[in-house]
Formats: sequence, structure tokens, C-alpha cells
Amino acid sequence: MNSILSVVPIEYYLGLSVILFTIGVMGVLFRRNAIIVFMCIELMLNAVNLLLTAFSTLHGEAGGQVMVFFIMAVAAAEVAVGLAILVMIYNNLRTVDIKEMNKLKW
Amino acid sequence: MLLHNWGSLFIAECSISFAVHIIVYAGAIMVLFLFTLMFINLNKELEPHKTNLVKVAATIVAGTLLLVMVSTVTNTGNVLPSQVSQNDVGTVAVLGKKLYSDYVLPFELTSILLLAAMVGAVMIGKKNTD
Amino acid sequence: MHQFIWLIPILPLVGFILIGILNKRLPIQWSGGIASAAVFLSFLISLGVFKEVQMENFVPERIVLFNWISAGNLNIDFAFLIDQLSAIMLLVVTGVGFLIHIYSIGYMHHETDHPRFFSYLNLFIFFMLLLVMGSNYIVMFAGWEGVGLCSYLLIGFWFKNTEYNNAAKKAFIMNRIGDLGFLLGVFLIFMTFGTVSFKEVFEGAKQFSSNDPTITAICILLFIGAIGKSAQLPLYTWLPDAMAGPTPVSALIHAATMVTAGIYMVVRSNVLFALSPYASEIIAIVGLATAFFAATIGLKQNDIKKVLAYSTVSQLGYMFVALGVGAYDTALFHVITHAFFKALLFLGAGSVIHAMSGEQDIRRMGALKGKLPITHLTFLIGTLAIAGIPPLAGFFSKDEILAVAHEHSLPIFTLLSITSVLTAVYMFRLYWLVFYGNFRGTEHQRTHLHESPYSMTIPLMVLAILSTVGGFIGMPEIFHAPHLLKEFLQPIIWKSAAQHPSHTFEYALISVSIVALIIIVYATYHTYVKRGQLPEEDQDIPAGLPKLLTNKYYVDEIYNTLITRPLDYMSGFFSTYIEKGFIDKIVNGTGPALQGLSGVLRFAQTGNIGGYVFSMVVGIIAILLLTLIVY
Repeated sequence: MNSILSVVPIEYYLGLSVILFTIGVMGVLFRRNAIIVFMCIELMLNAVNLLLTAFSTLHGEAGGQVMVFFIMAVAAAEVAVGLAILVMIYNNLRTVDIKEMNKLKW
Repeated sequence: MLLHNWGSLFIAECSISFAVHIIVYAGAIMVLFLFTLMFINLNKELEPHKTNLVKVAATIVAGTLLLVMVSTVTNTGNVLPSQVSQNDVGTVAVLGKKLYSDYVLPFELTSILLLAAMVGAVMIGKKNTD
Repeated sequence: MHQFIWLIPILPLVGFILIGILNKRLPIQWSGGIASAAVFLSFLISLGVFKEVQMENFVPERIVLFNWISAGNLNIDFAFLIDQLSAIMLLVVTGVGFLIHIYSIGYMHHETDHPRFFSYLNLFIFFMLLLVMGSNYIVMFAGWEGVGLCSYLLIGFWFKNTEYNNAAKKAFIMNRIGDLGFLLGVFLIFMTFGTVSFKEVFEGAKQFSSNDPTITAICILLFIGAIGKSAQLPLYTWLPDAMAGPTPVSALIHAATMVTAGIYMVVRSNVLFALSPYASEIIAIVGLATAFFAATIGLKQNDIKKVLAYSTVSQLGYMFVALGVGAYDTALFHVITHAFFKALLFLGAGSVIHAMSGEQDIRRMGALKGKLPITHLTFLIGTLAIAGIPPLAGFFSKDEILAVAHEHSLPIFTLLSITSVLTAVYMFRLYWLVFYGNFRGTEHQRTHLHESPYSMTIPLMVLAILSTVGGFIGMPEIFHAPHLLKEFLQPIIWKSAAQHPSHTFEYALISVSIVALIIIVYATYHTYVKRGQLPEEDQDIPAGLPKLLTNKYYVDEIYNTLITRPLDYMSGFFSTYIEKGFIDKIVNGTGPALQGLSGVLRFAQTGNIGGYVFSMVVGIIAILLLTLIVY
């Protein structure tokens, strides 16, 4: 069976992942809105997912895809809990600015 | 961005990952985000921006990260197999067998994790009654 | 009888556990009854065993209970050895032990802590039986340590008194010094022979030549153990202090049984000791020095139990002289007779103390003859026996020791004879001062005087009979009676040096000792009774040699100055400077130092999430850069 990887080389996937990951990092660093930060974290996770899938296909090893599967499960759980916390914070502070969430310090 | 990802997955012939990805992200996570956004009712005034200094620093740092990652990738040398594997790994059958044989314990644990996350989210999101 | 042998030590152990667990829930007199019954049953079985051992075709038997220790080529069975020696020791331990149990019921009747006392006594009997029945050095050592423990527990029986506790600790520590020697000896035995079982060790030892250095080292190490346990110079000081325990304990542990463990051990290992004339010579000299030294101290002691304690030390010295000159059967003979008459004397002393409401100073006694007729009579028999008046038990065993000592060397014999004279002097001094003359106690004590109950006097009478006839098991040749003990012990003594002394010498020895004794009796009577009052030197603080003797040659003080004080200083130094000044400072300083450091570091925790993310990303970059540089 002809793999798509022989048409689109693995280096392209690598590059795309790196760019996606960097965009995620920049989003986290730039924005102060907690929801956006969350989304950027998802983006970084997906960059990794993409890379895992690509390498899994390249090596013919299903383990990488299984890992993707688990990452997705964990991401779903994390988003559920994280957003619940966020809603709670908004209810109490009337804001989702991470600058305001600084009660937990020395 | 998500479309991008799906496209890539589709091209990479990972049918199962593709399907799961669409279901989880479009069906679950995105909906959650939307719900939250509706709850929180964001508008322009509520979206503060960081100072210019921070922005510059963040750009530098993110740029450095990009550079470092790229150089790491290029520096790794030729560890990739010259021949693309002909194994068909992306199909439902292969992945399902894998999940229910080698990874059955983590798989079951994942279900517990999801249950715990669900209960936790409900508990946290509940209005304080006392 | 064989199937019951394991019961001999188990019965007292069961008694110990039973009394120990039920404790105060038992009716007040039961604990004594249970304890005595357990020992009595052991005694009956021992009698049966003894009968069997006496048979013509008896071969020493090894009874393996279970495999105890098994590691590498070390294989130790928990096994008992039944032969002539252990059979006779079994009889002595359980027999005398039983009598003393009975006596204790009477002696301790006003004591509230009955169960504890009797459970300890039973435990002691158990360990003592383990000691004499063990078929290898390890089982013997278990018993050896066990009796030491019980000795400690019983000396400190009245634990509310600090002085008694100190005496108990002293006994324990002194014994420990000896035990270390014993243990090293056992290690050396294992290294040399690859086994610790008596049978194999002795068979292996017979291949060695005389005065082999390894054997000599083993013998000396074992003898160090015996020095501790049997209170020889220089470790004897614990025994007089051990008199702090209840009197039956002094009789059982510190006169009749435990202190003879060292002698038993040497007799048991006679094959080894016979191979090492050099070690034997040391034993003889140490024994002789102890016998003489302790006898001189005994002359000037005023505590009735202390006199007997020093007498015990001195008699143990006698036995070691016999061991040293190679007369192992003779030493055991003296062990047996000494167990009888010294237990009798101690129990008699206990009866006197009981009657005098706890008074132990012989200067405050006197004229007890009429008030305590049975005690007086039995005590007299004991005194005559230890002084060596024929035909009482002590005479035969002591004369035999003197005879073998004479065979060996004249100086030893001379000094031993002088010691024997001293023994008679201090014993009669004790006897006259306690039972004759005027009563010197308080009025309250006088009205309180009474003969002890039957539970105390019956053991006294039995022991008195034994002290009278006990010597007949080892008659000298001139009486044309068989030396029963010597014949009985024939199989277990490898090379006995004891030869039959010439008849002339025997006659001379007997007649001289009788004449000397008559003179001593008369002279002491004259000094202590006829004058009607205490000799001045006993009343006031004496000077010169008597003062030296009263203060026991200041040995305790010397030990204090030479060993205890420097140790105290050293530990004081380590405590204040090393421990408090150095180690404690480090340990205590760690806390404040960390607190200060974290007090500074915690300001990095700003609560600004953006900052955290920022530093995290920087960190990731750093890690990636590091991998880039390294690979």
C-alpha cells in the first residue's frame, strides 16, 4: 500500500508541528485571558499529537497512535475540570484575567 | 487550526485518529469552550493586553524556542528510516486490537480518569449551597 | 524415661509462663505451689534419668528437639545431651532448686509480689537446666545468658531500692565481660573444629597435641567466661553485692547453682583443658588467689550474707584449683557438696534474718541458739561441713582437693591449707556471733524472735542431712569404700590427673585437719563467746590490716577509680562537647538554616501566572539547548 508519506515527506509534518507548537506557546505568553490560554494549550497538545501520528505511520508502529488516543482522553478530562474551575473563578472574581489570579503566593 | 490538524491526519491515512479527533474536539472540547464563553460573556473591555515590554520578551522567547526546536530537528541527523513502513497501522482493526491487548489496563484506567474528571467538574461547577 | 527428657526443662518454663501470665489473678499461695510442683516433677524425671544413666550398658544420648540455626556450614541443633555429668547436674539443680522453692514459700509469705518472684525462679531453673543439658556450646550459651538474666532480675527483685538495682546492674555487667570471653571462645571453637557440638569438638580435639596454641587460646577464653560467671578474681565483686536479692535467691543462684556453671563448663570441656597445661596452670593460680583473697575478706565482714558470699567466692576458688590441677571429678564433687552445705548455710542465714525482722548485721545478733533450735542445729551442721570436719560432706571433697593439690605442687597446697584454716575461722566466728553470747539486738527484735515455719525448716533439715551424708559418694581410698562419684564420672573425664595419694599422706592430712579445727573452734569460741562481748576490733572502725579487710581491700574503690571514673569522665566529655557542642549543633542548626533560606526563596512565588509560564518556557528552552550542546 502506498503511504501518503511517500508523497508528503515526514519533514513537512515536523515543520508543521513545530510551528503549531510555537504558536501555542506564543498564545500562552501573550494573552491574559484564561480561556485563550487554555485553547493555546490544546493547540500545543495537538501539535504533539500530529507528530506522534506521523511518526507512528512512518515506523509502522501502532503504539504512537495509542498514545494519541490517551492524550486526547487526558485533554478532554483536563478541559472539563479546567473550564469548570474557570467558571467558578469568574463567578467569584467577575474576571478571567490571569493577572488577577494571584492570591496563591508566599 | 483544527481543520489543519484534521486535514493532516486525513492525509496521513490515520482513519481512526481522524475520526476520534473530530468527535472529541468538535463534539466535546469545542462545545465546552463555547459553553464557557457563553457563561463568561467576554467582550472587548474584558480583554486586557499585556504591556509592550512583556510582548517583546514573549516574542523573543517564543522565537528562540522556535529556533531551538528547528535546530534540534535538523541537528538530530538522519535517524529516520529511509523506507516508509508499509505496515497498515492507522485502521480501526489494528488500533482496536492494540488497545484491547497490550494497552488494556491503561485503557481501562482512562475510563476511570474520565469518570473522575466528570465528577470533579460537576462538583467544582456546582453553586455553593452553604 | 527417654521420651520425658525434654519435659525436664519445659516444666519450669511452663510454670514460668503460667505464673507470669496469670500473675495476680492467682490465689496468693498458688504461685509458689505451681512453681514448686513444676520443679518437683522435673526432679522426679531427673531421678529416672539418673537411674537409667547408672545402668551398665548406658551410652550417652543426644536428644534433638529441632534444628535451631542453619546457615552455610553452621548447623546447630537444639539438642540435649544426657550423660553422667548432665545427669548429676540435673539432680543437683532440680533437687536443691526444689528445696529452695519450698523454702521461698515460707520466706516470701509476707511479700506481695509472689507471682513475679516465683516466675523468675522457675525461669532461672529452666535456663539452668538448658545450660547443663545442652549438647553444644550454643545451647549452653543460651542457658548461660539466661541464668545471667534471671540473676539480674532476682537481685533487683526489690527494684524500688536504688542500691539493689545498682547491685543487679553490676552483676549483669560483670557477667557480660566474662560472657564476651566465652562467646569468643565458642567462635574460636567453631573456627577450629567447624562445629560446636560437644561430641565432635572433643573428638576433634583429641587429634591435637598438648599445649597447642589454638587449644590454649580457646581454654583461656572459655575460662574468662567462667571467671565472670563463677565470680573469680578479678571479676568477683558482683557476687557479694548480689546479696541484695532475697535470701533464697542467694542460696539458689549465688551459691548452689548458677555460680557453679563455670566449673560445670570447664568439666564439660575437660578434653580441651587437659590438652592445655598452660591454661590449666592459669586456672589453678587464679582459683588459688581467689580462694585465699576472698577468705581473708570473709574474716572481717559483719553482714551475715556477705560472709557467706565471700565464702562462696573462696569455695569456688577451691573448685578452680581442682580444675587447674586436672582433677575434674574432684571439682565436681566439691560442686555437689558445696551446693548442699552452702544452700543450707544461706537458707539458715535467711531463717535468722527472718527471725530478726530483716537484721543482717551479726554484731546485732547473738544468743539465737535457744530461740531458733532447728535453724541453729542445721546451721551448725552447715558450718561443720564447710569447715571440713569429718564425716560431713565438706570434709571429703575438700580433703580430696587438698590431696590433688599436694600432688601437683607444694606452694598451692600450702596456700590452700591456710585458706582452709581461714574458712573455718570465719565460719565459726559467724556461728558463735550469731548463736551464742548475749543478744545484742533491739528490744523489739527480741520479742519478735521466732522459729521459722515448717516450709522453711523442712528444706533446712533435708539439706542438713544431705550435707551430712553427701560426702560418702566420694570416700578416700583409705576407708576402703568405693569412690562412687569418680567411678560414675569415669566415662566423661578424658584424662584425670587425680591420682591416689599415699596412705600416709591421707592419714596425716585427716589428723592434722581435725586437730587444727579443734584448735580453731576453741580459739574462736574463746574470742567471741567467752569474753561475753564483742571484740573491740569488730565494734569500732579498725585500723591497719583489719581495716583493709573490712573494706574488702578497696577493690571496689580501685575499680571505681581505674575504670568507672575515667569512663564517666570520658562519657561526660563526649556528652557535653561532642554530643551537645558538635553533633546537636549541626542537627539543630539544619532547621533554622533551611528556614532562613526558604524565607528568601519563597518570594520567587509571586502568584503571577504569566511569570510562571514565562520562566517555564525559558526553562524548556534551556533544556533543549542543553541537549543540543551535549549531543
